[in-house]
Amino acid sequence: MDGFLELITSRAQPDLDWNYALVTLVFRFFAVFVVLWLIQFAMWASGRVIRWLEEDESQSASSPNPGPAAAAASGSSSASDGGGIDAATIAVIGAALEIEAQPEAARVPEQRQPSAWAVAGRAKQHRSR
Amino acid sequence: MTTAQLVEIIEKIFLTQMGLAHVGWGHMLMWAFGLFFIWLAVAKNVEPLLLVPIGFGIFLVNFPLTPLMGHTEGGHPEFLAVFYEYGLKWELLPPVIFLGLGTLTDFGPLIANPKVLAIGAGAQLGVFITFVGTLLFGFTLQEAAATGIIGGADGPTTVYLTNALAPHLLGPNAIAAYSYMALVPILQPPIMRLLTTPEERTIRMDQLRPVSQKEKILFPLISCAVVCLLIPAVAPLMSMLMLGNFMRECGVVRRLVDTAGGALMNIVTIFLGLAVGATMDAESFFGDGKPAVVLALGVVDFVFCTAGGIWTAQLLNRITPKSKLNPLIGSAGVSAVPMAARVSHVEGLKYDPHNHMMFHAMGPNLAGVIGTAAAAGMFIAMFR
Repeated sequence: MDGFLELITSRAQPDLDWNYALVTLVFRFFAVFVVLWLIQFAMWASGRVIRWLEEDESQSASSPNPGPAAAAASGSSSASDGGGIDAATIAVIGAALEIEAQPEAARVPEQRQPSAWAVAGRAKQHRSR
Repeated sequence: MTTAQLVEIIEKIFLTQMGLAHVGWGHMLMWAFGLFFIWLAVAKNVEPLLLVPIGFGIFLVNFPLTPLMGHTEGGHPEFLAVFYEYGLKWELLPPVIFLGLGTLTDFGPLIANPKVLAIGAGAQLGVFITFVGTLLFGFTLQEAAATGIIGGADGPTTVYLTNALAPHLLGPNAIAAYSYMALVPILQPPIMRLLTTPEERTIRMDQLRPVSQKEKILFPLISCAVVCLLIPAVAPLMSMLMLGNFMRECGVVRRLVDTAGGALMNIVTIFLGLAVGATMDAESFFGDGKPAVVLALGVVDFVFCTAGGIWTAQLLNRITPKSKLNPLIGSAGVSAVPMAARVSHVEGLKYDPHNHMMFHAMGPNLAGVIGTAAAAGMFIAMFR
């Protein structure tokens, strides 16, 4: 620390290879585009594949089930269309859904484990009786 | 004991054991510098999470004779030097910050519109222009590369690259990067208005398609593979970013995500900030005047990076006129997440109060993170 502030004048290093510096610069700038374009292409391709697979899955899920259809055609009621569910079953399902929708703490009664100190105290009390 | 001996002892204590006698104007300037950053953080709320530890590190390390950044007689690093040696020199802290960033980032907007990845690449224009500019000021190729990356507006990447290529510029580069990132809302709007027409500013973009969870899980794996295959030099940064994001999206390691994006990131931020600030002692800061050039060229860098993003958006509009982009989102190509995206959104609302572009602007913003890391990786591969 000599107390002087040296300001640099605009003078490039004399041994600097400008051709190398500029060519590598341009090359690398476009290389950034290439890298991101490859990611873009990979994302586009994977997105297409995933959407195609998901559409396939949703189509197979929404296609009519031949079992109930055949049953309906034969005139018998089926559980899947609700025709075979009586009022009691519906009430039970409703109650189950209601319980499921409640928070965990509200459903499960709080069960506290007695502490070791409390257990020892109770044992002592029991022995004294 | 004679009076002369007593005076000699006191003099010896004063000169060798107290810092007061060694204080120079350089130290006082650096105290002012450190306190200025602390003031910015505390009074103006400018990047407080980073500027408080950085500012305090600058303030602290400029007290003479303090055993903070040197080595003991046994060769062990002193207190702050431990963070510097094992955190920065060993290239540990920036990738860990990227891990946390990955857990906090939703790449959905980028996946929904991968076209905007080109904006992230175009916004690196300033990085390369500043590279040439710094060479004109007598910088070496390594120093020029480290200074150029400031315009990418990505703190951890700047720290990582500078440490790899020009560690003596670590303090000024990190300060410039974080300071100008904080100034994005002031620096960018005039450039955005200058480079776009009123019609362009009111362009309404197509609604982004919904992105499935499977795509979000695949994205970090694909991006990590592409970047590691093409630019292995930047694997530590990108792999951690993508690991963090994969942990977030896979949904089975919620506790790890909470830690990486919360406590771990906060701890690392403290150490990173302190270590970066501690590199800015008066001797190295005023030694060759290069830090002043870094701070000056940093602004130029930001201007060209913003312009590069906007020009790329305009170019994409010419290539694909059917699905036009609002060029205001081009400025978000600098990776100051999410501040740059917010600036695009706010600027867009000024010209069309119903044109909400935040989600659209997040795409180029995240592409900028990847673009800056790619540029940094190329510089490291070339010049290390």
